[in-house]
Amino acid sequence: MATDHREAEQPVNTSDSDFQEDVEFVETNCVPGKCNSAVFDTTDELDDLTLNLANGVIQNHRGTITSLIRKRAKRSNTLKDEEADQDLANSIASEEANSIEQSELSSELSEDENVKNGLEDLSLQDTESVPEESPSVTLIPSSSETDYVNSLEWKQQKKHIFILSESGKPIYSRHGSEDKLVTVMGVMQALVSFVQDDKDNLRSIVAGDHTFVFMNRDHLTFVGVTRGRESTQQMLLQLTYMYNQVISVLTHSTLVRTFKQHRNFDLRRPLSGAEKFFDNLLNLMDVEPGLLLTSVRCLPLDSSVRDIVSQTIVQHAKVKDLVFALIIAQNQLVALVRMKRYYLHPMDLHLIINLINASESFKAAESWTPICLPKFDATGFLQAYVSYLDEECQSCLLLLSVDIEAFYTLSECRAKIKERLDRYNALTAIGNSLQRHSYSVQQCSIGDLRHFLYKARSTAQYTSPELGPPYNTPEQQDRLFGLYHFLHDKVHSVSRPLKLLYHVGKYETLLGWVTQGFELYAVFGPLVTKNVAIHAVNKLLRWIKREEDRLFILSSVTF
Amino acid sequence: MSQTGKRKADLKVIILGDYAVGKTSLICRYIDGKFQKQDSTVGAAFFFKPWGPYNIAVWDTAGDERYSGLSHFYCRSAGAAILAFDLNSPKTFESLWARFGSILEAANEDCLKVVVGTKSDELDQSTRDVSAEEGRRLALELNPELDQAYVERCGAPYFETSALKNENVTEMFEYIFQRCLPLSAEQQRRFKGKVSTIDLLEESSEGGGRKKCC
Repeated sequence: MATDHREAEQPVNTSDSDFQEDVEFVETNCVPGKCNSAVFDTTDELDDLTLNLANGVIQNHRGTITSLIRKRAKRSNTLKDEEADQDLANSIASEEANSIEQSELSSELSEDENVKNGLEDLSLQDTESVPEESPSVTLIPSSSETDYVNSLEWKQQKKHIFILSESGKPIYSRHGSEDKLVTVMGVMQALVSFVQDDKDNLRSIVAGDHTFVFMNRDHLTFVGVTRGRESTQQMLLQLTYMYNQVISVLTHSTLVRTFKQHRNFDLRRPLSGAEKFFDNLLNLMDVEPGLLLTSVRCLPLDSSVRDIVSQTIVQHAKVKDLVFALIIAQNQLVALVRMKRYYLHPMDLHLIINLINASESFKAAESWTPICLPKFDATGFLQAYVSYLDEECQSCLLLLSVDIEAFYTLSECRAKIKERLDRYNALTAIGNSLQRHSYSVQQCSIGDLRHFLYKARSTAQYTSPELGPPYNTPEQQDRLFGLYHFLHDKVHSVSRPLKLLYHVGKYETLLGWVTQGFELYAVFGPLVTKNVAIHAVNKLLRWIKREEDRLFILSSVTF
Repeated sequence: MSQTGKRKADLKVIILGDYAVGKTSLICRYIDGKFQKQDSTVGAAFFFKPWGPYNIAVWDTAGDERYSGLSHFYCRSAGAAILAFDLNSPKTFESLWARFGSILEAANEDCLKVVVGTKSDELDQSTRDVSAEEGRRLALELNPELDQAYVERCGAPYFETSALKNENVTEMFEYIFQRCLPLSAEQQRRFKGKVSTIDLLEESSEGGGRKKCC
């Protein structure tokens, strides 16, 4: 430790190579929350983004739903209900029709690589022929529209997100009604098309405090404008979430088919009513680190209680065609049970959380709604049975099936699950955990540590203490989140990824540390030396290790 | 929300109609006996209610077009369909023809279709676009199996309702149940007590709500 004083004396932004010595002191064998059997699909979205900056859908289980439906069809050959059979046949037929139509796009569609190329080719062709005829570009704005776009309130928004179609038709705007922004979106599309004419892609523009980030996927253009601390890469991740949300409502197949048939299609119609999901998702991204870390936060719960919850689900929801069963409480995962061989990706889970978070209507009655999980299978819908388990509407049960007829069966499962969980007092335990508001950073008893994010990479889960002083006002929380964005970006920098970063800022000292097993972002008081910080995170790791049974889901439960 | 064991519904009622015509408000007025602002329905929501000796399943559906894939599921074997439109919006009335006629083909052959105008409290009689006569005519056209005598005795399956002011809501549901689950004279006598108990409960819970308000 003594050798380290020399470095601690110069607390300026230092990073990587000088740090090798320090890394020696770090107990790299301590990886809290590590789990050998995968709980989630842990494909890292950031890696994906880096590798796939070119347009294209990244999918892991493409066609899963079709194959599951086929399996079901085989099984239920003896099905009495003729109509049900008809239904199955229809759904399979429509899936097939989709794939046939898609294969017209490019010669061979079965491989993702080709889809990507096909779509890219298509988008290039389209942009070459479209720009002049695009109506929005030539539209002359009325004075009220101009007034609105020029209003101070609109301009001062910290982050804007726009979705527009390839022909420049507005689809969504985070602030202000999108149809008032026809001209602005026309300009955006013009910029994108101009660059595409040279067989290139517009990625970002920096203008003063603002960064404009562009993403083209499947005939849609996503534009993010921020004056916050998000990097281009991080904005791209946020736009990917928005794209996933679109897919979640429509499915990838429908989206591609729609624009193939009518390039000028107004996508707002099939998306009507879904605006609240976009708004809510964006609000979540501003406060919930899980989306930035593409990982899941679990509700702290004694492992015995969690076992009871997941075993109850396994026993009482053992229904054919049920792919995922999960309980979510206040945006935190309580338990997850999955079909063998199928994994839920954290990005998909965030869409599920967003679905529940954005709508009050699930609190009134048991609901049955289609949802597409793009990472699981972007080509089709799963059916989600959604119902709260307690009177206060805190613990929400979700059962995701491929069978559209399964509602009544799942409703019976829910009754049994609720009855058991009540009997074992598990719902009370969940309620108590929610009331305790997670844990405070003081509980880790590490002086000068103000806040931290810890992500266990192998399980795609993260933990962090509740926000206490000085981060108890929205402004300060916003600033803290900005610091995490900064730290996360520096550590994951594409050109120069870091293992360890010690950064002394005006108000706090930051330490970012990434190993194969975990990512840790810690915020200290401003006067903490590097030595002390390293010492503290080691202590923190040991604390998390002690608590890991409570903070993480370490065993994967299957039906 | 009592969820006890097995539940077998004797009648399946579905409600269809454009986005934001007030379908959920109508259902909640009848089931919970109160009016409150509703968040837009996601997919379809399931309610269960006893009526006399019978159990009624009510499917409240989202008006957004993107959920049309679900319609076959909830329409199948529906005994009654409430076709709701906003009395103040002629467009929503036209939708009943354009959008929901084909959807209802999956329902029972003898499915009773009840045309229901909502938000009658906002309606200005002097400027109304959809006349009561038009509504009645649509209701009769949709239900060719209703004979003249029945219509004269019980009225056409057309109602103008207000979930806010609780006007015509109970009447509309009673009309459906009387038609689809007719009680024999004996049953009526036996379950009259029960039926009116439910009414009383609704009355009393509503009275309580009012007291709190004032």
